[in-house]
Amino acid sequence: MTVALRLDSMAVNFGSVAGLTDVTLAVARGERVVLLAPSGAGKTTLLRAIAGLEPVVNGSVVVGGRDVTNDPPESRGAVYLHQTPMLFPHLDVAANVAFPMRLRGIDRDDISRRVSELLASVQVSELAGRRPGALSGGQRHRVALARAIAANPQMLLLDEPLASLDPGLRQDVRQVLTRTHLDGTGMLIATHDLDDAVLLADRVAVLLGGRIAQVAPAEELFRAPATVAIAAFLGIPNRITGRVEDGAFCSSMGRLPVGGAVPHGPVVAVFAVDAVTVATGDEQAGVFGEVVELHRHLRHPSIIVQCGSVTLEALAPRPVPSRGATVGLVIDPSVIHFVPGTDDA
Amino acid sequence: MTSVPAMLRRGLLPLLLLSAAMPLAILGLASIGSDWFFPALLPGTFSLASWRNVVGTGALLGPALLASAALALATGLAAMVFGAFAGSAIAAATGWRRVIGAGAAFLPVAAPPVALATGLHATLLGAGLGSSIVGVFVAHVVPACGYTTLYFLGIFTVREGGHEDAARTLGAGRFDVLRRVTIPMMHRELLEALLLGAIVSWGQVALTLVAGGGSVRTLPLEVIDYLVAGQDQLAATGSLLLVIPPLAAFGLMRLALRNVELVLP
Amino acid sequence: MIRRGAGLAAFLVATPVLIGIAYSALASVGLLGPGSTGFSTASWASAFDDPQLLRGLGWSLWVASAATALATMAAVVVAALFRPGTRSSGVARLLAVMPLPLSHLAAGVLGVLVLGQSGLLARGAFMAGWIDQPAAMPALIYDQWGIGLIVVLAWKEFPFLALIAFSLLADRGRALEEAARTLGARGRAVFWAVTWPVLWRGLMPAVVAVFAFVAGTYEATVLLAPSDPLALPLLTMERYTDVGVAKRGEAHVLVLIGLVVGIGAVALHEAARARDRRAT
Repeated sequence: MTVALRLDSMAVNFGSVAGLTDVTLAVARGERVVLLAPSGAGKTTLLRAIAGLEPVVNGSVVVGGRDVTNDPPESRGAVYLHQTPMLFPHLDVAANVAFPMRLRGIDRDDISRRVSELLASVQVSELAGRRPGALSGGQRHRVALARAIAANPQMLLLDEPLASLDPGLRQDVRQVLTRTHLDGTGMLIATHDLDDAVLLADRVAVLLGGRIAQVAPAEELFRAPATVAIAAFLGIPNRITGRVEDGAFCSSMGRLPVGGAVPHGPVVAVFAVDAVTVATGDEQAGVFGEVVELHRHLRHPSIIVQCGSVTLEALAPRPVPSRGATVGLVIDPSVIHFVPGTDDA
Repeated sequence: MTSVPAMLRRGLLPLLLLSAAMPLAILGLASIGSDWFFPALLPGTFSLASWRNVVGTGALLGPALLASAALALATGLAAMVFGAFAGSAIAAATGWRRVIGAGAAFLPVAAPPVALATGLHATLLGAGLGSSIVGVFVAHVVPACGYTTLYFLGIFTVREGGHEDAARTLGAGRFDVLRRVTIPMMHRELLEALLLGAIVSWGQVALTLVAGGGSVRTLPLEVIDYLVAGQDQLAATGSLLLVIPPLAAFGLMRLALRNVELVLP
Repeated sequence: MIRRGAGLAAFLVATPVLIGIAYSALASVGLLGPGSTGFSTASWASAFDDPQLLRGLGWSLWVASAATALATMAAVVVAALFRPGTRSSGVARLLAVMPLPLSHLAAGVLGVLVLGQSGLLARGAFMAGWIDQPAAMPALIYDQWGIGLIVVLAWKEFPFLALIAFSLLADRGRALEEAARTLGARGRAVFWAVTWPVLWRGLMPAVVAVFAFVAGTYEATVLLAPSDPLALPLLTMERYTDVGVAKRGEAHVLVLIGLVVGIGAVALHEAARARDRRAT
């Protein structure tokens, strides 16, 4: 695996205050890494700093094997795509895509051949002569992507490419992004949207508290978040503080036998909504509680159950129990993830 | 029943029409009307005599027009370039630097031209530019740069520079960004700034009088002299020459803007 | 375009003015300039002893205040009456801003041709039988109160203020007015509760700028103002071009006073802008 981007202990300020303190991350050629972080965590700042648009205070940025920490943006081999496509309004679509090639003094015929190829690859060949103002939102994103690829970059840095799009367009642009696979180019895609992260990422890097908190494939990230803070950010609702002793998880809910390699001592048990179901006739409920709230999610309606001092979110059974009803819950111990320590998220 | 605002509107509309049409109508009549004495409402006879003073031999208005045009163009260009750089630099600054920058740009605008002229005069004389057209140009450039700097300060304050950033990471150096992105994208603002600087120079009297020492004859100076001498016809012709170019530029600008807006979103 | 050099830009744009101010300050106390004799406050003393100075200053402030007030009122009325959406309002707004690119000098020439004692207004009055000779026409130019100059300057500044008022109402006013209407306000109540505050706060900086400009303007003043009292810009010019170099020092005192008026007004202008920025 050759590396397209490597960040070593990189620090970047937000204006004059410390922002990103210690960012370490690698992206392989051909790999798509999603930078997942809550709004305001510094996703944009990080991408802009990699591109050379914000000064790096400490650490290093290596693009395609070359240390570019002190290079100007134009010679880094990393293209930054703003959340809105930023097409040049005075140039038509073909000239926009040709822009990076003109800069390198490439032969006219070669440029026009490459422009046609690129426009075809993002399925907007028929728009070559149009001005950006005459394009739809999705078309603008496609053209911006083609223009970025035309620069032949080592890294593509996409800043919230799907934010500010309505649901139909999101789907459209997602498709373009998932279909765009470039062997020689790494992609770093910033988003705060969990669904986008799952859909687009080979691996997800979670940026929390000014550093990369965890890097993992999406499925693994949701199953086994490294810290309670990550679990909280990922919206995993069930987090129960307790201890693991003698092969069982002890908490205010009682003892729950667990198997496998589980850390010993104080832990937080983290598990998703679908790990908790309402006991039916022939099941042995592990814990009982009162239904205090119903969540009418479109696809997965859930119930909030108060079990003593612990609140659990469980998949809603059919028919949905009414508020105030007492239910027995079954927790699948095999999908519980134990994080050592206590819940401070 | 008619409401009070509706009646006011009906009454004001003719006044606005008068205010808009009167300058050209009156100056036009006065410039071609001879023997237009009290109490005649219209000139007795018409002649183009005053216009011969624009192009004819020994004409005074023609050379003055040329001098004014050259000064306005040079001032507009210089102020446009200066204002774009100064305005963008001040807009990029923060905190007290920005406050001082904006305050500095206000100085030449806030200073009355007469005060500016007398203050500059000694420096111009010292530099050997007294009573020369170059000296007058320098004098005109000072307030014009103030106006264009403030103009671009406003523009660059709201402009985010996303297109420039995109161009940089696509491989364009600073100069390429300027040439291929900023200037083409801002041609309309640049043109407006050129016009702004040119207009500051075009109507100038006090600065021209002092810096030019009376020997640099621009159109406004000729107009004042003719009017003071009671030569209303020549004064009107000069005024008309003074009025038409900015009016035309203003009109063309609005037209051009409308065309641009049809193309752009 | 560039991200550094705010300091250099500020230095370049302000230096000519600062040099001028420094020169005038030194020349006014006899340390610089033709006929300088070493430090002396004689110019200051004689300038302030001269009744012409205070009369000229007062006269200029009066003309500037009156012209600015008239132009502001006209701009507010026209903007409020011809808001987007009302019939013929587009035409009215275009007509209102048409005189904008006119130079002050041309406005002054028009003032002479229309308001002079043998001007078009006087000829109209003759036709109507109100006067029988030019001398019977009340003096509107070169007059003590500066009526003609005030009218011309107000007319000249009106399009500038109207343009700003139009955009204020189009940007901010419209949504606020609609909100007020849905809350039950009508006609006059909407004007006093929404239109007027929006216009007043937004126009304030421009109004002060107009005042500063008008107080120091030379072009229309030289054509329409009386010789007594002599307006501040004219008085400054007269002292500066006086053959006796002794008067030069007084000219520099007047220059400094003019700068105080102009820059003082702009300082107010900035304060008003800062307040406006905080309020929105």
